[in-house]
Amino acid sequence: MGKYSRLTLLAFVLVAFSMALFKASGWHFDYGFRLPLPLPVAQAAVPPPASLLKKTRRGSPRQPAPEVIMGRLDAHLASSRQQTTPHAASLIELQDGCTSAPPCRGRTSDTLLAKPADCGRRCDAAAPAPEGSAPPCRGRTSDTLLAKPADCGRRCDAAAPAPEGSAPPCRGRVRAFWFSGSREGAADVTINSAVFDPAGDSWSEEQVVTGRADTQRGLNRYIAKVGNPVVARAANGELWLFYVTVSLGGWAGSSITLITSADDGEHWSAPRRLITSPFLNISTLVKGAPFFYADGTMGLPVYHEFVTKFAEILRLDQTGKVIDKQRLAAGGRGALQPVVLVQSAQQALVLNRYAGKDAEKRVISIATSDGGWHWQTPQKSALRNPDAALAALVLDDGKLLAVLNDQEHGRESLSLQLSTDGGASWRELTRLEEMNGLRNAGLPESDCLDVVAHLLRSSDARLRKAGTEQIAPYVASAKPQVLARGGCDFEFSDPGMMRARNGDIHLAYTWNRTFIKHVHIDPAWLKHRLREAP
Amino acid sequence: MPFTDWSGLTGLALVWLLLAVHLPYAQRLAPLRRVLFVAGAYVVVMIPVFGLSLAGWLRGMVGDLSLTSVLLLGSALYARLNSAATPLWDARERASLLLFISVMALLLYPFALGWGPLDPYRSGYGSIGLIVMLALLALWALRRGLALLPLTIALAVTGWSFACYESTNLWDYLLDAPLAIYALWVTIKVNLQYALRRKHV
Repeated sequence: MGKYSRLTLLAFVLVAFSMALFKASGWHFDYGFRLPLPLPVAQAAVPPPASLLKKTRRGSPRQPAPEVIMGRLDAHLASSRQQTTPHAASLIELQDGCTSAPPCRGRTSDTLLAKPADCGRRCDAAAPAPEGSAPPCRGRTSDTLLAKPADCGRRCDAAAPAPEGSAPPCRGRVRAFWFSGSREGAADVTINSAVFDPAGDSWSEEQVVTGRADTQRGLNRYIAKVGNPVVARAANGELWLFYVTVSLGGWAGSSITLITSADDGEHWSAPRRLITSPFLNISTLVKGAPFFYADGTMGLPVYHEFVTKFAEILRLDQTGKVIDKQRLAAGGRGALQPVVLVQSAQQALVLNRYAGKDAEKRVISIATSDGGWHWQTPQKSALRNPDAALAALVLDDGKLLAVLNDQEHGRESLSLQLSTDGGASWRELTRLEEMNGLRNAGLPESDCLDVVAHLLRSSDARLRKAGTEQIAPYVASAKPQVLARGGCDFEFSDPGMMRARNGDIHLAYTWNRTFIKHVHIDPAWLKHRLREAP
Repeated sequence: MPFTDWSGLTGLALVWLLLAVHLPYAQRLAPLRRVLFVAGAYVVVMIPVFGLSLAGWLRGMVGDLSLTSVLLLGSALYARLNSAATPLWDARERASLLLFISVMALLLYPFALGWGPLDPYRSGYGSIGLIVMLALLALWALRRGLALLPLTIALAVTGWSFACYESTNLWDYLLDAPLAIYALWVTIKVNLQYALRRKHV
């Protein structure tokens, strides 16, 4: 090499590294979490009118004998296509022009102890519904445990114009995403979506968001299959939808793709690939809901499955570029599908599916107390886990809710669990599904299908009074899955959970690999169960 | 097409082009015709047929190649097009680069794939420590009279600075899995041969 060539190369090296150092010096992020806005759990949005409060002998107002409303827990089938195998739901509340934190007005079930009249008064306060045109109060009254439908049946927020100068009312609509096709991993699997409107208490028709061919075209590379959508609301208000794609092999060969929507999921951008692994960029999968750091960057819980299994967090900047990646646990501990629960600006708990070989199968928990800078050694929690995904969230008062299969083997049950001590101990609030014991019961096929029909009727208000003919297509859809392994086998899995601005909790999960089932819990129900729980 | 897609696909197209110039037909062509043949082949491998190009298919399998791979493939293609009797880089240059890639691969992949709690891949996200280490290595190589190794490192760092690929991680500009496998294979083979020769001497 000549002298001049050497000098030229030296100059290139110096310039290259100067530019790199300049770029790296601007590569900055902070630890610490951004807390979600507090939500009004089970609190009356409007205090009861004074006229309803009786005077005591001393002249001070006194609560009338309450007529207890225990709240509501509704179920719907979110997916509408038959003969498909949908999986892995993820939920997000739509903006609907509701920009601020104030609770939705007129949520009759927000009030645990209010008299039904309060409910109506509150509903009517915004705008009395015209005679004969008032939609039912979010259509949810029929499922209220103790309240009478007539108590709340006069109006709904969607119809009520907001008072001048105030934020528009939240409609509380929720969009769900899942993947669905002829079978898991098939080339015809697409990412689908539907919208739940509480006003009509119903889900829209299922729509295809994207699929293998669209993704392949957009990413300019071969794609064999898609799956696992996870949705998030970005800092700029856009919806970001992460999903995995596989070009070769099984799910361990997954990479993450991102599409964005500026109109709450009506239209989507071209896909963008996240590069997250040095080895062919394979084996980064997503399942848990993203969260935010205090500096506005997004944390995306992901996991690795190739060679060994472990949980990680990707950090994305406001444009969706990966700016950091943090391993939560070394490989071999079986921590998968992390769900991050931000408890304070410095504290967070990660609950992981356990995919290890220990006989005692428990959810793996990993905690931080310094804003995510360091993560403690993974611990086995008190929650049982049969190597299945779970969903969880934090309530305003620090209590934790989790939905998971509370068993060590199989996925025949689904349980809503509560922790009041930051995840140290858990207790069951309710059993959402329970079909343990049927697999080996030797049930004849016809009896098994009767059970399926019964379950379907209890899973969707539209099917509650369905006749044999009406429910037959649903049963036929479920039949191959339920009878697939010879017995009468049920599976409830892959839950996703979110909390709306009005305090409602929505969860969705795979129902026998046949439908996506949505469960809608209002704050009154939750508060009632919290009080009931020992 | 976004620039990062074009750059990624072009790097992968080099693999197909290198295969193409090895075809007997291409070898019989005059140098200028061979260049035209390669240009035509580039168009063919880049144009999507039924929604996917040949380069795109390969991209699905292995992802974007590192700039080191692109440099080596480009050098090999250049040598083929010019019917050069001697390779562009001498054996010492090549051996040094492949040794560097082998060491980096051994430091990176086992840990990145889950061996232990530390993930060296994380240092590729704007770590000043990694950049300084690479700068010192490049300057040391220059001082030793090497050109290919510092050129490769500087090229990778420049590509990362300008975000030439989808990846925001510096490691992806330095090395990739196929290159790492190739480098390890060549390095082990060369050292084994050297050891055997010494034994017989």
